[in-house]
Amino acid sequence: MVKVNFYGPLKNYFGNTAEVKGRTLLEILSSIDANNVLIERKQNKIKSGIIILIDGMDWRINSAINDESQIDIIPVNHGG
Amino acid sequence: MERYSRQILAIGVDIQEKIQRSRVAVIGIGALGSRVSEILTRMGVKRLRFVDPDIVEISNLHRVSLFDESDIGMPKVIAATKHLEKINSEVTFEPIVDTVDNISWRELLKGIDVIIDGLDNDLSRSFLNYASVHLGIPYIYGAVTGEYGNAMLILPGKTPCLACFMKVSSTNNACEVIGVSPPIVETIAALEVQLFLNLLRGIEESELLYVDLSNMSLDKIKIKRNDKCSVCSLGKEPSINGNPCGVERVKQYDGELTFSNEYINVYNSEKGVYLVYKDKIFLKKRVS
Repeated sequence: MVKVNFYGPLKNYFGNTAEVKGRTLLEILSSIDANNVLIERKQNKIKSGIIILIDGMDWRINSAINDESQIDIIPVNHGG
Repeated sequence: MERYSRQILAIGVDIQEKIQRSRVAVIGIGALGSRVSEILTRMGVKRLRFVDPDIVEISNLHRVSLFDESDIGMPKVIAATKHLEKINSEVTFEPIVDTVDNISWRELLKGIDVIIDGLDNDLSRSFLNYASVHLGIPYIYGAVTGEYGNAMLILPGKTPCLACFMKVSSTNNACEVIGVSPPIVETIAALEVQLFLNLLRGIEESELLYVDLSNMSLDKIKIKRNDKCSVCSLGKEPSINGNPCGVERVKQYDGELTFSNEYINVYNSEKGVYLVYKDKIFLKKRVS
């Protein structure tokens, strides 16, 4: 099972963590994102404004997921 | 040294001496930047450079502890200097009305030891991050939204840079007017200054600190350097184009004059608000 950690306001939707089965990021997120918080369903892509790390590395670089993987999903803060 | 005697008891003389030799640039002097500046002024940094193109507005006052009603309409960097000079006359202040972009970054950071982030948009952050990496100057990232915020120490060549994990969003939802609760500003400003102190101590650990004040939590998230990062691995400068929000340097203005004082004329137009200074013009883009 892949462990997914949520931060900030995402905890209100998903709790602190989820244990999910799946081989790709989109597959994993789709299985838990019933309210379309993370995924743009029409285009079937991950929404902007969210940092996603797979084992500490940007998902756009490291997309390899195994059963031991940890995924961090972090909403970007913009303001100052 | 009596001024600093209580903090020397906490941090030690050697760190105090390092503080008093430090030349710090605070980029963006809104809520976060002005709070960071006040703490650094009280702690006794040698030189404090502020950079911000904007003026003080009444909607800033609920969370910007440094400004008051008499500052409304003044350039933020001028208002900040006015207040901070009264707090510590030993510090040298360098107020600069400007924005960090492809034209200004090199000049704005000349002679600076540490950069601290007080910005309110990711486009300017992307230039600041690029400048930090290119010039080899440590950069302390900070940002807030609602009751959430994050901070991170970026050491060029040693830690991930901002572009290793963050992409500037080109969608409008990245530039909506966001709510900010005052306590998160204080918290992130404090963490940015603590990262500065830790840097002076030689602590080079770099994790993304994520604070959720509504849950009273602070998470430390480990991030790896990205060997395909456009900035710290490939050296590409960010693009100024295609971003729907933020402040942009322009050459011309139009619209209706809505405010004027000895520093600035402000014009309101369909494109947004033009900040017209004697030698520079900026457009605060309107979000459609």
